[in-house]
Formats: sequence, C-alpha cells, structure tokens
Amino acid sequence: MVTYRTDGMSRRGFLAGAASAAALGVVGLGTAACGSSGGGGAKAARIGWVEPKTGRLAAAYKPIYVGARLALEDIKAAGGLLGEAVQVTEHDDKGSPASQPAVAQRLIRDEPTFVVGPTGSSQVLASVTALSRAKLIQSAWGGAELLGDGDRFPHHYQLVYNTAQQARVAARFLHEVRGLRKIGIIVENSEFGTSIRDAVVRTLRDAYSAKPVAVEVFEVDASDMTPFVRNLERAGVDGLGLFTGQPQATVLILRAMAASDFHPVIVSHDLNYIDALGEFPRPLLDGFFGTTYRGLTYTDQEKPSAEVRKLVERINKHPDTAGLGYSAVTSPYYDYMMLMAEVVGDTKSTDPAKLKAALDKVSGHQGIRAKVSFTAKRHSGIADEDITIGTLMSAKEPESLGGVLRRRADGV
Amino acid sequence: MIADILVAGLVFGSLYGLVAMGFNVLHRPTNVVNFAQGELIMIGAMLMAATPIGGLPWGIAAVCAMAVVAVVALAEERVAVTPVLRRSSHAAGWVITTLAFSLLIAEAAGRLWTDQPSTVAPPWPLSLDVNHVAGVRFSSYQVAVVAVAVAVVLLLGLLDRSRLGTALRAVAADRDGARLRGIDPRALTRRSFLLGGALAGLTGVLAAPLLLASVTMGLGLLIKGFAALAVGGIGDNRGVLVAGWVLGTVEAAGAAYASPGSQSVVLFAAMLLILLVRPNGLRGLAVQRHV
Repeated sequence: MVTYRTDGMSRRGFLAGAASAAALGVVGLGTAACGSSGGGGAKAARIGWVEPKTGRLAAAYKPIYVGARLALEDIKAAGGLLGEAVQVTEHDDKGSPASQPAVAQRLIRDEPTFVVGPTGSSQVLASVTALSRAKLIQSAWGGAELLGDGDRFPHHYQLVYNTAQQARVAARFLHEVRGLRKIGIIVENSEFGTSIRDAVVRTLRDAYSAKPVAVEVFEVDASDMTPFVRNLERAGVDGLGLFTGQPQATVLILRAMAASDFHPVIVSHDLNYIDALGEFPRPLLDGFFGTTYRGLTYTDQEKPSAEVRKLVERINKHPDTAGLGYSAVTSPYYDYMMLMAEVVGDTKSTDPAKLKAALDKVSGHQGIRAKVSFTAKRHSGIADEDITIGTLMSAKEPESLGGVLRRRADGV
Repeated sequence: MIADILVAGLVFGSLYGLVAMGFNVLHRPTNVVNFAQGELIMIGAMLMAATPIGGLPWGIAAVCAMAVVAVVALAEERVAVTPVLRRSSHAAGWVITTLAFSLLIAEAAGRLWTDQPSTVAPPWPLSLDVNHVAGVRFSSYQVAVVAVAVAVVLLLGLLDRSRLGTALRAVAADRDGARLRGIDPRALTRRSFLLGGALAGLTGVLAAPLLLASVTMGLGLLIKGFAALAVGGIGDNRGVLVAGWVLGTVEAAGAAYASPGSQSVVLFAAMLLILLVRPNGLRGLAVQRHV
C-alpha cells in the first residue's frame, strides 16, 4: 500500500489523520496501493519523493513524475517491494534550489529507502550536496556531468545522459554525420549553457581539430534574439548547436531565423514539440534535430519495443501528462523506480548500504529508454551508444504515438 | 546592423517604458513601487493566449485581459497595499507585501499553466512579417507597439492636467495634507491601481505577440521596466519612455557587439553611467516638495 504525506500537514494533523485512517482500516491519503503487508523480515520500503507541488514550475514539472507514478502502479501490481506496502512521502521543493536544504532535512528525518527527484540541474546540485552526508540513495533529473561522479556524490545515481554526452553526440552529428564545417553555438547564460558550450567546443577540438565559427550567449530573459542570430548568419554558420532550458528562447531564436531566411541545421537537447512552433516554415523545422534516447526512436526498419509502446500509451492516458508526453517519457524516474524495485528484490533488503553496494554493480540493466550500468566510480548510467539524434517534426508522424517518440535522424 | 539595433531598441524599449509608466501610475498616490507589476503583465499576456479570452476578437480580448488584470491589481491594493498604508503612509512594508502578492500570482500561474510559451497573433491588419524599407527591417506590429507607447504617454499627460491629476499630485506631495483638503487618498489609490493594472494588462497584451506569452515573462520585464524607471526618473512618463528606448538600444547593441554573455553587464553599466551623470533621470526633473 502506498501512503502519502504532504509537507503542508502539521504534526498534530498528521497524527490525527493517521489515527483516523487506522481506525477506519484504511491507510493512505493518496492513490494506488501495492501488495499486502506481512512477511519478509526487512523493513517496508519507503520512498522520499521530491516534486514541485507549488510555485511557478508546479504544472510544468507534473508530467515529469508521471513515469514514477506508473512505476508505483507496476510495483503494486507485482506485489509491492519484498511483499510489503511501499510508503511514499512527498515533499514540495517549489522547484527552487533554495528549498533543497530544508527538503533534505525532512528526507534525512524520514530515512527513506531511496529518494526520487528533485528535477532541474540547479535544484539537483543543491539537493545532492545537502543529502551527501546522509547516505541516502537518490536519483534526480539533472544533466550536469559531475552528478554522475561516484567519488563526489557516492549515493546519487544519474539515469539521464549528461551535458558532456549530449555535446559529444551533437558535435558528431553536425561535423561527422552531416559533414558541416561552419559550426556555431548559441546557448543561454547559465550553468547549463556554459557547461554544454564548453563541452561542444572541447569535442570539436579534440575529436575533429575544429572550432566553432561563432559562439553566442544570450541572457535567459533576452527580449530579442535577432542580434545573436544575425551574428551567426554573418559568420556563415551552417550547423548550429542550440541549447537552452527556456522553450521561449528557442521559439524566439527560430523566429529571428525565419525572419531572415536563415536555415542552418540545428541540434538541440530538447525535442519537445510545442504549438508555438507551428508558425515557422517547414524547411526550418525540418532542419531541427535533438539528442534523445535510442530506445525512444524509430526508423523505417526499426521500431520501438513493445514495452516502450505500452508505456507511451499509458503515459498519454495519464491525466498529469497534459500533452507533454515527450517530457514524461524522457524522464528518468520510471526506469529508476523499476531498477530500485529489482535491486531491492535481488538484495532482499531495504538497507541503503546494501542497495548501494548492489547498484554499484548494476551492468546492462535494460530500462525503457536505454541500458543502465554503474560502477562505484561511474554513476552516470547511460552509455554513449544509447544516445542518438531524433528529428523534431517526427512528432507529427503517427509512429510518434502522439508526439512522444521520435524518428532517428538519417545517418546516425 | 545599426538599423536593426535601433528598431529593436525602440520596440522593446517601448515595452520597458510601458512597464515603467505602470510603476509611475501606482507610485504617484501611494509612493509604492509595485513589485507585482511583472506578474500582472504576465497575466495580461497569458490571458490573450488562453482559450476563453484569446478566442475572442482581438479588441474584445484585449479589453477583457486589461479588465481582469485591473481587477487583480485592485485586489492587490486591498490586501497588500492599503493595510500597510493605513498604519503609516511612510511605512515601507509594501516592499514585502507587493512581493508576496507577486509570488501568489506566480503560484497561481504555475498551477494553471505549464512553462510552454504560447504564440499570440497580432490584430488584423498588423503582422509580424518583416518589411524592408531603405535597408531597415521592421514589422507593422512593431511600429504599432511604439505608437501605442507614445499614445499612452500623451494620454497620461492629459490625465495629469485634469482635476484627477491635480488631486493625484496633491496626494503624492502630502497624503495627509491632501486628506485635510477634502481629497480621499484611498479612493485615488484604488483608481490608480485599477488604471495601473489596466496598463499592465495592456503591456502584456502588446508584449505577447513579440515575446510569446509565458509564465516566466514577468520577471525580465519587471527588472528592465524598473531600470527604465530609475533612468527616466520616477513620475516622469516621457522620461521613462525615452529611458526605455535608450536601454533597449543599449541592450540590442550589447547583444550584437559585446562578447558572449556580457549583455547584462553592458546594460547595467550604461544605466549606472547615466545615473551618475543624470541622477534625477534623463530629463533631470528633480522632485520638489514645499514644506
């Protein structure tokens, strides 16, 4: 059975609620339940869940946790963890890095078996730093390379590809697959933008003895992208790495490109298709590509697995998805939860120390998006060969199952 | 290239000037700088993209959006400003209360909408299609935005010379003194928040086709509008519009010529330089108060 507790409840309110629920023979304020209690000997598994329930990102991040909620359903259907009810305690981090130390304190007090979230590079860095001494197993959605460093964050496991991996795949696509030689980069002025810009520049230099012909860095609140785009155009850019966490910035950059009929091949880290893109000419959008997981792509000959298609259909039906199925399916949380269920089952323990020892030996675990492997030092679990390039406009093809899967770009 | 910079400076500077004019309208009778102004603008833009209002003919939708934002601003005045001013007209608690109101709006927006931006089409016959005239590239909608900003300055100037404007100036000079002369500062405050809210709604309506409607758009406009207010001079609507144009142009030039990532440095360095030379704002209208 899954029990939910929210941060907004006072201690007295929680105790009263728990007592009432116990009296009624009903445990749980939320949905879903898994397994029956009893047996096993090990403590029931508890999950610490960090998600913005309030704040500006609440609605935007809800789809990202759909996979985790579906995993809870699957764990329930499989009889729970070690035959026991899974307890989920949700914590609202407001989508803010500043909230993470307080959330971490509550997580440490709760002593969960493992932690899901938070989401967002800045939030994750704040969270793993605050939790590093508590030795809590955690996986969050943050793309920074250092989050996969097992020496630095021995209890955090990264089930998403990192910025360096993205940069390698993007640079290879532009230079090697497409044969473009005038490569430009445009990134937002943030930790993410800086790190991926440096990684692309490094890859071009080390792998191809090349360097970008233009590098543009814009402020995240920039009103007009025209000057940056004109600089790229003047430099003769034919292949562009476009990296920003702001969907608005992407649309404004494309608008500036459309205004001057400047249509380079674009590689981004984001393949979300949003309605705002509908205003652009098709040739511009046809040249828009992005990094994604190989398991979530298809070609004319190769189709996604039945498991992937089934999960995508479930994601599309979930009310929290709200049309953002691509974000939901690329989220690491379904694979993470199912991996943890497997590890708990294999070790027959909910002791974080035993789970960590087992996680450090995970090799080739088949997730929905990609295979996952860890060592004690390497906690970045996605292999380079499981990262590929997809096309943006395949979101409009029926095979994308409602814009969730992507066609693999030619030549990759 | 220079023409592109000037066009961008005028267009986006007009938006910054409009934000600053919204500050001015609310500031005059209350001495309050409304930190929720950015979020009010965001509501105006999001309403233009939202189905119930955005689906109406553009003019009706714009009026509806302005009306809704005006009502939200009035609510802000009731819960976040008047209670503070009632304790003392010189209290500075409004800094926190207007900021808190801004967070409440952001909270509500975060529950209603995702962070995906939405496009809003300009009203017919305007468009965002680029025209080339004598080497200058601009759209008809960009021209309209600049024209509306100038029109708003003129209308606020007319309002300033009216009986209401005189009463507002009296309240601005001395809230307690004005009350002794039979002016009701609270009623004027309510009217100003309604007007300031409508102006914020208009700014959001105008900004939506250019910047896209998004829940994250408010903060950037708030900061740049505040910069225009500081450079143009509090209370000087013409000054803040000119300041908006100057800052918009500096911002565009910074994007075109400054090394990557230095645009903000260039913008705020220019702002500091102007304030060092013209501490009372670009037009140098020092505030005088007779005691």
